[in-house]
Amino acid sequence: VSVTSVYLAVLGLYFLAMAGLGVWFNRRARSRSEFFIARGKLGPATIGLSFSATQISGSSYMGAVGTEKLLGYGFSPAGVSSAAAPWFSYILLGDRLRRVGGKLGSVTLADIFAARYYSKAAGLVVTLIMLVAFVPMIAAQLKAGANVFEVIVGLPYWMGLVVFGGIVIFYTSLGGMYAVAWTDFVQGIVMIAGFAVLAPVAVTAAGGFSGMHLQYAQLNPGAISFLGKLPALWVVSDFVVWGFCQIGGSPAAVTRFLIPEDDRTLKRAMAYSVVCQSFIYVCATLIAIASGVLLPDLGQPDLTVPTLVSRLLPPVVGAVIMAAALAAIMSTLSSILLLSGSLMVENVYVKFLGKNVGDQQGLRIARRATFVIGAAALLVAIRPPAAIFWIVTVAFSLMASAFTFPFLLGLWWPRATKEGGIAGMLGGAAACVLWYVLGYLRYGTLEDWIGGIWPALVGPLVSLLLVVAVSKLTAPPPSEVEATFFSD
Amino acid sequence: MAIFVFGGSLALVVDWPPGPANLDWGVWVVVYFGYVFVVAASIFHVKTGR
Repeated sequence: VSVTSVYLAVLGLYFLAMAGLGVWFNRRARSRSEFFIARGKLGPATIGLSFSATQISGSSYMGAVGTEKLLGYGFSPAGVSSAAAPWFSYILLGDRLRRVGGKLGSVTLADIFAARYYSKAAGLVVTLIMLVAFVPMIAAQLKAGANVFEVIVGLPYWMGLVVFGGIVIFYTSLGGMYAVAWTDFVQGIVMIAGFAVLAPVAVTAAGGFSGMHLQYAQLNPGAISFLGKLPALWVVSDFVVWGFCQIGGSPAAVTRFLIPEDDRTLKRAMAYSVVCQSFIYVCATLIAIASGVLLPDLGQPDLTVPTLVSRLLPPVVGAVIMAAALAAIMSTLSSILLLSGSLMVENVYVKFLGKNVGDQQGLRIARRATFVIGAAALLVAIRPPAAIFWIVTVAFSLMASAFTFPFLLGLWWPRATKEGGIAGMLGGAAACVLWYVLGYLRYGTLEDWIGGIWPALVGPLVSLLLVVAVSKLTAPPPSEVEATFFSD
Repeated sequence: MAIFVFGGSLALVVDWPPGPANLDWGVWVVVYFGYVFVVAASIFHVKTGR
């Protein structure tokens, strides 16, 4: 039996299982709100692992190992704060967001912004910024999945795209949040299992924990400590942003806060998420350092995990780890796809265009919208224009800059006004883009920034100043906002 | 959370002495102890509400 056949068999079974979950949950949702959010219908482990699987994309599961192999421990603090992000998000937004969402019957975060900043315009700004970031992200995730197929099993790119994209679009548009959260749950477990196998094997092959570090320090001397290869501001801003700014930068994950009906479920979900992410990231660090010893001359960082797998593990186990890599891409993709569908239906079709739809009709529209967005992104991914990679590169920073402080102050500062919120979103996004452009003009790449300061740190700070200053200069919000958001 | 963000940021720019397993103490404190800390802190928060 050839290695390719083993990979195809394992990945085929895995895909069938994911599609099966979509079919299983096809009839569960009875309204479009249940389709998009499944409020009160999911347990803490499902919500927690779904949060993690959504937050960890293919690039952070596979790409981070390759990057950490080169940059060493200077890159590791970002992993620690990413693992802490669910807990930070709970402390910063948690139960208030859940309660307000339940009170308003909100399906999207744009609904929350529109209610808090008492303006359709605020909801529309959120919707537009998210869609500008999400549609290219969907196309890029589809491309990443098809590339894994191309490299691992030698399928032509277009065929990988159709198979991989088709499965995700199928189960997402059929089962909505039920299917997305449960497939995320399974995918989260596959991701944990994949690294749980690879990390000890790689560390042992590299000479054990202590011996591996001795060799790594000789091969890559600067990378054994935090500041040997990277500027201090780069390391610190990475550490702060990945923990603190996920509340704005990962709306698809934060939407999970609207699912539970009680605080205990939400808190337990976030603890599951922290444990899951901590395990995955600590394994990623160990695999990265081990690969620095085992594959010192490998040129392409993205191929680190596939190369390690093919050298160290039998094909069946290797296929499970590659399924884990696809799981990381699929879970992020399905969540972004579902959120884009909900924004199009709830915030554009129903709220902005003022269309009135009943439960059954709404459910049909929700499914079709999710399918159409997925199909459109699939078409874009066949030959993606260069510009989408720019957008994907800046997408997290853009959303973190636009949403973090308007979100935070909107929930905790009664004086924040409509004008302040909108100025904060637009100003934060503009500052972030400007910082990227200045870095690009100086260094010729989006990966290097002025002073080593990440635009995802500059944008939120500008946004914070604008929300506070403009709110102070404008009339206070109406009393209904206080009653809805701050009556506790 | 404040301990984590401010303590962690400070720990990243301090010069640390060599520690066990050919790593300096900074890596042990921020990275490996950091993961233990966030897991313990989130579980403590669930159990006690503090």
